[in-house]
Amino acid sequence: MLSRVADNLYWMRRYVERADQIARVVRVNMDLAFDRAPLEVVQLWGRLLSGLWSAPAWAQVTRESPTDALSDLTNIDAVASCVAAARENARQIRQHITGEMWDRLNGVHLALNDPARRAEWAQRPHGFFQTVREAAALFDAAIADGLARDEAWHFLQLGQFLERSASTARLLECQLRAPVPANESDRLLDEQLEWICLLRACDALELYRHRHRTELRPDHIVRFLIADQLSPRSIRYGFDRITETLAALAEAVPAQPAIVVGSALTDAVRVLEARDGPAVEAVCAIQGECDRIHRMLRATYIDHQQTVAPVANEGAAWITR
Amino acid sequence: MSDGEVAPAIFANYTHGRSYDEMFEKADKHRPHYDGIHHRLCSLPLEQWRERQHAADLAFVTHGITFTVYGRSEGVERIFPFDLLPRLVTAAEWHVVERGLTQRITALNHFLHDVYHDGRIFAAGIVPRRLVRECRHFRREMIGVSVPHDSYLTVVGTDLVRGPDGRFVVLEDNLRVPSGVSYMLGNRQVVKQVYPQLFERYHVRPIDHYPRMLLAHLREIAPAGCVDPKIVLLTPGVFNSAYYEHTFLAHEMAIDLVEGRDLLVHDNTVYARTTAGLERVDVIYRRVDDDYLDPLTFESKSTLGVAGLFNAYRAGHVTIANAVGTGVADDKAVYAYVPAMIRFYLSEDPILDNVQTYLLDNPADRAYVLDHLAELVVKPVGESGGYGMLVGPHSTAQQRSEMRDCILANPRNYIAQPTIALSTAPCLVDDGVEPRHVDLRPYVLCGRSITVVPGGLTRVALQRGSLVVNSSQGGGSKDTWVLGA
Repeated sequence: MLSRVADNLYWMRRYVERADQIARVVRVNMDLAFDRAPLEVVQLWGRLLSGLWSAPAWAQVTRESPTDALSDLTNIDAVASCVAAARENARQIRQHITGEMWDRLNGVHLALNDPARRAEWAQRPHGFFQTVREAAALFDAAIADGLARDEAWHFLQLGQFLERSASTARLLECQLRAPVPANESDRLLDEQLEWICLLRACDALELYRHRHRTELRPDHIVRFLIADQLSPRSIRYGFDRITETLAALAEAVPAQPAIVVGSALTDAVRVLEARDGPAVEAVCAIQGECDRIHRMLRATYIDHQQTVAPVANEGAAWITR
Repeated sequence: MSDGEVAPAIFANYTHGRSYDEMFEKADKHRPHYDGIHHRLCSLPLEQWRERQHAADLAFVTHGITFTVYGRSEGVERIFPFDLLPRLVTAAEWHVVERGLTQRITALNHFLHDVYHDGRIFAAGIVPRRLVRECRHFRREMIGVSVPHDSYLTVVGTDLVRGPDGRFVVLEDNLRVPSGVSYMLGNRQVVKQVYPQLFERYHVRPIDHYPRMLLAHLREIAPAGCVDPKIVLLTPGVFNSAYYEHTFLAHEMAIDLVEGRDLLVHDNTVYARTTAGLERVDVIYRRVDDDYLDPLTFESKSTLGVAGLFNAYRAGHVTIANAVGTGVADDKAVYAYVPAMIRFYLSEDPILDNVQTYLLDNPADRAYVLDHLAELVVKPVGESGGYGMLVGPHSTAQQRSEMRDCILANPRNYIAQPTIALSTAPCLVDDGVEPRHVDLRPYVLCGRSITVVPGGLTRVALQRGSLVVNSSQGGGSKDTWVLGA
């Protein structure tokens, strides 16, 4: 497979995952705005935004006008630019993806840029979240049912789970670094709300409830998001898929050396279980490992000799190429 | 409609001018081979035609069959406007076109070999050497370079038009990287999809095998000794106006679609960068102009090409199709000499005629043209896509005066031709069917043999009365049916 094709597949999948993630964070904040005092909303908003490393492109949400999250349109643009980048990658490899995959991406791209739909979403934001969620889900389904489990599939898997693991780790880090309010009674209520927000931002609230039928406990949530083996939103689940895929890729392309996943995740799990050291450092180490795998992947399969120009978007940049 | 019958309302605005009309022999009589189409037009309500036309437009959008328009702040993706009514060519007419194109392209291929080798045609005084040497697309670097089977032209898209007498004449030879074949194939698919009944009563010759034929011809011209050649399609990339076509053809031929950055040259051999390392490339079907192929040999600022490609080519380690330097033979001034080439190389009379052409570095021609700018079409010799052209009868005094200055500044850069009343074909418009001017671009594939694909792209000037059919200038297209015997 051409290196550039592998690169396009990988980034196409990353950008779809990212679009879905950003839409989810906007939604969580918008819902939260109804329940909180104005100033606090801004704080949490800023924290989650910095979690996505793209704060300047975001609109603030305030209690007075919670739906500004969409009427301002910059948040739609943040999602739309990710979708546009995914589509642009797809456009270059149409012979390697299915018509169904293209139709899904092209369809959501056209919808996000349709002035009538945008005006409608500014009034009823729910439709926007629905559109993005459905497009991402149908895109996934098109991949799951439409593609052979060959090299192309491996690069898609890596794109999906590296993006997801890194963003979960990043959001977790922001939550762990959050300042604790001085007032005791506020603290309990706030913590509850914020941890629920975190789970929802990771699309993991229902999964958590199914796995832990107890009250919400921060330490359980942290362990769940990092180490739960069975939940597709946990970092452990993502790393298991990444490990499998790297092994399968090494088998499919014997000419290249295999990439081995490092110990950052197992170290983090040990720290959490032994309560031996600050969780936030372990979470940072996981992000570092995602970045290292990303760089190894490029060095091994894509940039043999020279750097390839990216299809990157400033506003939605995360790991930029 | 038989004589005396009243024309149905759908033809209320169908005017009959000086041009040859593809469907109507006379105002009240259609040509026999249009029976089936005419019958449908008379029997199906206009509403339903509109619905089908709409379904066709939608099919192009959803399939992403688009092209990019240049000259705006950024590339804009557009669909190529499509008219549902097919354009018909009878078996007898096609027989002439097929023989004529085969003859013409055989002669042009001889000419290319001659230009870059012995120059017999110059020595014989048939074509002035100066004319060729001054051509912008002449490639000095190609002198003495051999190409497999002496085959310079792999894909040709010749533009034909029908004059008022109904005969096809050649308007332009496109010998570099002709495009549009995906529309030829797409148009057929869409008509089959939205109005299959139209095919009843017709034997339309198939064209779907085009990509397979192209692949077969590309295999034929692989470097000598290459058993299972690795063939790639080289595209300038996603911002090129014909990008959709590049992806389509690569997909249909099941070959890699590569950009310059995917290839590298090591030790005079071309390789593709793959996830498994470097893989040797034997044949490059390029959709990149000569200028941008190799920054070391041609345009040094180009980022579309591959450094060292030309040396690998000259060494015979890779085939580039079409060959480098073919543009010298589709220069619009060289065009005037093609009938003479046919006589010189093949000792035959041309089957398809040229359009009368004035060469503006000839003082007598130039004086005539400058006096008659309002009647003539003036074209730059090295351009394609209708850029930089003056259509005299539709021009303003200012445009003519600007063109006069351009001609006087660089006469070799222009030719002039009489304004041809292109034939008209029926097209669906808002309130019925009206005639619009059309041309025809058949596609010809060459390797060890020559294949004229039975069909082509019929381009339509969608504006009433307009003679400009280029997609970049607001033209559209139709499906083209070559009928079986």
